Amino acid sequence: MKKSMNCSLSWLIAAGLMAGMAGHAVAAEKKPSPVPRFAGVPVPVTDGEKRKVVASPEITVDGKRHRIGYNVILRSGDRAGDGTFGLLLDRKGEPVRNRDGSRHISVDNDFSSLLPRGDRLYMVSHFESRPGAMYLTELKQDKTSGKLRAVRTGNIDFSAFGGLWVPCAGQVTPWGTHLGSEEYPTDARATEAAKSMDEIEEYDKPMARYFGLDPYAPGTTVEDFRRVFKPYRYGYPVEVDVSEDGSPSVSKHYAMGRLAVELAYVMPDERTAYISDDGTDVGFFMFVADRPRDLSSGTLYAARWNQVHSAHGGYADLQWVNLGHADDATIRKAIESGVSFSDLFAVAEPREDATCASGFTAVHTTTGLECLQVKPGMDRIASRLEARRYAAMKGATTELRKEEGITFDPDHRVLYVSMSEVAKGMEDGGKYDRGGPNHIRLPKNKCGVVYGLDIRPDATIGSEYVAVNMYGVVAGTPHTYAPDSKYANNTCDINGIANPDNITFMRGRDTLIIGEDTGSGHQDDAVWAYDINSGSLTRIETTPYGSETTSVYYYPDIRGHAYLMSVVQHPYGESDQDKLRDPAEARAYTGYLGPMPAMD
Amino acid sequence: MRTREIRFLLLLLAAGILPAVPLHAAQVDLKSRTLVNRTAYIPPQCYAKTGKPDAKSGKPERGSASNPCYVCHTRGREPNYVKDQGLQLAYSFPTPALKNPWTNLFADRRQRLRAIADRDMAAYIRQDNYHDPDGTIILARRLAHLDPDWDFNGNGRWDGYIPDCSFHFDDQGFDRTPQGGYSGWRALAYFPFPGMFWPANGATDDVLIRLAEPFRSDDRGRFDVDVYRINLAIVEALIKRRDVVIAPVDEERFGVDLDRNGRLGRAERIVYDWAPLEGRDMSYVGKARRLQEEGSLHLAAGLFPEGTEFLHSVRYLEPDASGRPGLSARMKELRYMRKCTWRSYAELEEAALAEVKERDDFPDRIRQPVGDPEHGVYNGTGWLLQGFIEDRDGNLRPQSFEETVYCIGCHGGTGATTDATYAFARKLDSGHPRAGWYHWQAGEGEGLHEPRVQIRGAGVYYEYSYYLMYNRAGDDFHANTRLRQRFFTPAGVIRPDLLDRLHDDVMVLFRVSPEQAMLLNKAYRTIVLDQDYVHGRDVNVQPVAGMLREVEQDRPTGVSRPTVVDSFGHRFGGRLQDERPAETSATSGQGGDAAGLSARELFGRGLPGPDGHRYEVDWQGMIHRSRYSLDVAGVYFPFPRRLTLPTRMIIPAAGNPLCANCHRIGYPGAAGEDPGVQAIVPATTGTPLPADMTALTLDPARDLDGRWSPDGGRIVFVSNRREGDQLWLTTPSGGRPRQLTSGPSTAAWPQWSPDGSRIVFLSEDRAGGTCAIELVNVDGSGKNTGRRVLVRSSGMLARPVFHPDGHHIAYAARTGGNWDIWLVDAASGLRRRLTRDRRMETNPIWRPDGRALAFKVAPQGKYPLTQEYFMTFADGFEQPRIFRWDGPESVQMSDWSPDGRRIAYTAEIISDASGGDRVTYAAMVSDIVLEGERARAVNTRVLSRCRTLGDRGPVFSPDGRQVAFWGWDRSGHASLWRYDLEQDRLGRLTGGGFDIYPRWSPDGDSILLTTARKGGDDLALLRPAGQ
Repeated sequence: MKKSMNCSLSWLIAAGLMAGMAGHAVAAEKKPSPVPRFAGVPVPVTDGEKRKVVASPEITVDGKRHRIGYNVILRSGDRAGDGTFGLLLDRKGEPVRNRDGSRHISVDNDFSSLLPRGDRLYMVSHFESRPGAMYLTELKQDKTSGKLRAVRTGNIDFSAFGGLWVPCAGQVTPWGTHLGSEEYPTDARATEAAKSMDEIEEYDKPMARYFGLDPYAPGTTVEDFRRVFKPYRYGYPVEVDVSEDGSPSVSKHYAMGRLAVELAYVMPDERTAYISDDGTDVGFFMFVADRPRDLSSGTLYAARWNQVHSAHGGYADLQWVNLGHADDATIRKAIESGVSFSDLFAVAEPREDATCASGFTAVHTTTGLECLQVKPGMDRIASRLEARRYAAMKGATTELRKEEGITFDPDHRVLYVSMSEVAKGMEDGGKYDRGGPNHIRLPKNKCGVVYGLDIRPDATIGSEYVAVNMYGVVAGTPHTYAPDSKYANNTCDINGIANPDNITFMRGRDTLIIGEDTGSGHQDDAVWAYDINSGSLTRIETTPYGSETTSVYYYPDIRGHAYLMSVVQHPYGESDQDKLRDPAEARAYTGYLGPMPAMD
Repeated sequence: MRTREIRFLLLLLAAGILPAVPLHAAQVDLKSRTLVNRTAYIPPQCYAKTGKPDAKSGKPERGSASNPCYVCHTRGREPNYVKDQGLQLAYSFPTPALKNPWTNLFADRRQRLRAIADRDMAAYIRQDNYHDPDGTIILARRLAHLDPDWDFNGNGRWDGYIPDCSFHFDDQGFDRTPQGGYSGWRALAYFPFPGMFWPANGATDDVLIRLAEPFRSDDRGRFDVDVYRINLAIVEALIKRRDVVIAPVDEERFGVDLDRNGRLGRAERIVYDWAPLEGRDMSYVGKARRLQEEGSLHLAAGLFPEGTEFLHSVRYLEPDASGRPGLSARMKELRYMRKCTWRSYAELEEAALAEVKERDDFPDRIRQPVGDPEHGVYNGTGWLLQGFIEDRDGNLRPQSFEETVYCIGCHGGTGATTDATYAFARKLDSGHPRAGWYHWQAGEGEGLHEPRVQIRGAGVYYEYSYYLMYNRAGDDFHANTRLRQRFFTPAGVIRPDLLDRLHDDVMVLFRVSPEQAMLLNKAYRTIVLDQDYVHGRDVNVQPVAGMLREVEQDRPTGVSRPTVVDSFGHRFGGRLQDERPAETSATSGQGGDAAGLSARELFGRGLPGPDGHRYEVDWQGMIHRSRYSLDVAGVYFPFPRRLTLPTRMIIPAAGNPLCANCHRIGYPGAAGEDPGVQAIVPATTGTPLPADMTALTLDPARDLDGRWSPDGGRIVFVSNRREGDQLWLTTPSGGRPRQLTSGPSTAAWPQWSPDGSRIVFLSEDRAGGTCAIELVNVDGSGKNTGRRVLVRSSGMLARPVFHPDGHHIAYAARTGGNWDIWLVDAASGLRRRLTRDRRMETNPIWRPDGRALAFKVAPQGKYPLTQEYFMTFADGFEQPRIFRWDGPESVQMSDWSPDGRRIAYTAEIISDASGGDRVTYAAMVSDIVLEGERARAVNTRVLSRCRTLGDRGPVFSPDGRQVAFWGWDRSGHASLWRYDLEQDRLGRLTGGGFDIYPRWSPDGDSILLTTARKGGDDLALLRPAGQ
């Protein structure tokens, strides 16, 4: 472990400022992998190019060239069978409607999994909205070409859980289920304290429609809103299984903790899961289930960042803070009994110098500086319903910023986590560290970094898959282009990554796929293939203006074909100028790069 | 070369070297999409300093901050889902915008101005740069022969908007082509937006609208100006969410029930009635109606239909000698926008919330504008924006991409807009000349009253006054010293006298002296010469001090709580907006009003009123006592003048028995002259009674205050036909009245005992100088049968009323100079004092169940602004429990509903019905909730909706479903009205006479009233249809 750390360290220092040239020591010792070669796509320069989805036309696998491309399975709003893909429904299964009668079609498909069941192939897609939506689509696979086509789609009912909330990224678990997430749960403290609808976050309001309440109606009071909107119901990993006949079964894993779950990612042991927390001043979590394939009970840990150096995204040893054991049923019972923030914590006003009165612990998380005290007997419930606050109280690090995708390279036992930008709490000091321990002290990199985490067994924790460190692997590079440059208005080097988001590893192929979610970093988001051996980056897809690439996910072999799922969220559109702002053009694309030959 | 030049200049700027003249003479590239200022969409106003202008450093003190931010950054009204009021509190800029790029505002132009001769400048602005001398539109000509430098996509033709408005308007505001046709453009008059669009801040402007072709065409696609006018009115109703008055039309012709009365007939208004989820939708007319039905055109509140265009010319100042601003012939800019795509509420909401998420996730991300110099720039909510601006020589040229990106900051993404626009929602309505459809050139708008806004939680304010007070200046940068010196004292205190004048005439604010206009025009001319609009096109003469050169990210502005403008420009008390049912069935909790706010949100805020208390006014015009203040020094509520029209007509109230009957002002009143009636009689004598009205008394004497016996068989009234005022008895079928009481003392205020056997009344012995509460038996044939005195006093007494138990009588008495409520036992004469407060308590009214008593409290011992209190007697009469009023101010309660759950009363409201803000009376009904120590009046309705000039005396029908009241018309007549509580229907019962004091018969079939139609005051019975 120590050796590995030193190797990484020296490598990183040697790599210096060469963007995109980081890697890890172990990879170099291994015999070269048959890395597939994607034909690169250029940076979109013309207006026309900037409005299109452009993908690699070709991939070379084991020396053989294959024509591929970006294929659309469904766009949001498309009908397949009786279903309308992305239509948001209320708890009764009726479309949620605004006052003009309009329906919501989410343009935010954030993850689509492919789930073979017997002869059939299903796709579970979830939409990052409020209420959230999850659609189960039956696909047909063309046996020869491998192309996928939607046969029918339908909404998955979450009414038993009070609905679904902002499902973000996802994973197909080692046992083949769809593991989704619920991002950005609201600050239960603020919701409880709100005196009027004015004090309710705009972001939260649409959820009321799930229960038939119009949040903007003149007569809607904050009491009405709180009657239907229970903050503690949302913010958990969500698991969906699909039977061969296409019936879904769903569960929310309250035991895994409530946070801004970007993604919960289960390791090959089928017990250890890493959970990324999206936002500002957030933590990084690990859940170790009691039993394989059963995420309903286990122990939750939060990482503490012990910084070693700050070069190239930084290097830290990770220490795991035990937040205790819990199970779904216990936590769910507490939620449904109506437990509130004030039942869990006593609070005090922080002093001017950011310290707290005796008996209270100062924490700085997404919700800023707070002085908290867990009420007697509430530790277990607090550890799950307020996992981030609780973790901070226990000494874990809550200074990470925009933590996004997770993927695992089993060949080299490296876990990758993307950090959309290194900023705010991750910087040294400043208002985002006020009152907190300032564990992370890094120079700002607004273009973001993909981190590597070495995985080792840990007897104390009782898992073979414990991350021991965290170091920058691929970093974006801020760059200023001259106003007359064809790349003007890009603020990150166009030959590197900008704001990495979803990532997926092509196992056995030493290739890390990195999807971007960037604004001005790159005018058009790109998807990259990163060769972990050479450190080279190949641009394999670019997406229209204003869109976000999500859901990149690698399937090495589905009945003889490999796929790289890729969703384009909320594009501006690609048609000619006069129809540029046709709202239909803003519909999301759910599709894939491929089909490629099976690569297992 | 160009780039190098700019870089060099940036270098100079960075080094802090600011050349005196010219700052940056830029060559404008119309073929570039690159932004020099990447945050060109963040306008200079966002850099305004919010601290005290003289504050040297540090953060502004709490409460001392000026707040110009609120006019743009506020909680948007659905379907504007932008809620950016937080931007009032902190400079939440993305990092690239932290350094103020609007360097033009720091230029000192004084030296350059001297080089421009007044005469040249005057000639310059008078020169038309839009039309050739032969009337051709210059831009249209130039765009037809496109300069390759203007051809962004190189296809040899101009693909953007080609100006096609003649600026030649007919008397309805329609633009007419030289051939006499219609271009489709229509000019509108509107209240200029607060701050930078006031002429005194540098420019004049106009706004024109055009709906797409289907809105101008009949079913068969032929142009039809009536179709167009109606569609524009429909759009106006949808944007303002109010009814819009139109010239009468035959609905049959259009096949649309415009006034929503359930049938096709003659319509005089577009009724706003849109709630598609409840099955209530509206329809365009003509071809647009067909396309709407097909689904290719849309209709929704707060949104313009597809294809709507706006044209907005910005011009130099050309005031007349009086300073009245005029529009120069020369245009500074011609701004254009077109709605390209329909966005549903759901789509707009998703987009706005995605923006919230984006800003939260990545606060440093900046907008990526879409578009190009030729087509324009998209604003993100369906509109394409484009503009033309003066070139160095003063000719209009297309704006560069960056110059247009500047426009999307205001027209997309702020809470203040209505579908990305400002002016149309502020259009003058039908109460104004030409219903607000005219171009400023038409010279209307004299005496325009100041508009009002509703500030969330703080009531209704005069909009410009509020801006002046809260911003502590007349412009965002505090650079307009002239305005400041006019409206503020040297100590910085706002001058109420000027605000008073401003309320009546906005020209008080808009005037600009010819000298000032010359200066501002010249200053702008230097920007034109420099062609560096990308560094700011706001007019400044010397460096603007009230603007930050650099912003610290998220630095607080010093504003402690955001001001949220909820709605604009509604008349008080008029038919309100939005969901109609809310007006009628606001039954839930707090009693919502139709403006979309719960009563609780409207209540309890405000600023000092005339008596030192804090008051506020809500949209219905009701005056409420305040428990809250914005706590902003120098911001107060401009309480309207109290000139109630009814009172004004019959003043002096003192000594008028008619008034004294209710008010006891100066009671016992003077005999003889009756100024109130005298004032009315000339207009009303000799009018025949309507068919549904029967006279009960026809004596020349004054007969009034008729009261039904509990069984409805008899009526007692007061008449001065013999021995001064005495009680008389008659029957509903008429006949000869019988005298019940005789002198020498006079009698008033008769009230039946519950069993109908006795009457309690007030008597006055003028010779002895005493008042008394007396009883008289009804049965018998003589006068004064069984008459006996219950209470006699040398102080004043008033209003005896029987308790439903028939034993107790409540009344008001003035002892030791203090009015209180008393109770007397009719059998024993035992008296109890129910109130001991030093305030004035009068007017007791028993709830029908006898368990509660309403009474009036005048805190200062006089009118106005009185309140209604209640007491209950769970622990007996000795220990009444008092509930203090929590409802609109100044009440005179007149009735309980039969079930005791509602009260009918007269409140003072601020009415716009009389043409100005005046305090007047209005008949009201509220649900009354007695809880804790409060008597909460909820679900309050202004029954007349200000269709009268003032009204009073509401009484419930015996079944509690209807309320009758009386009110004054504009003509000076008094009429009876009936309001149906269940149907929310208001109907006029009488008209053209002087009919007051309605009293329902116990069977509810007829209404007893006092009428002056026959010369004096007589009693009459009305049997209204549908009874």
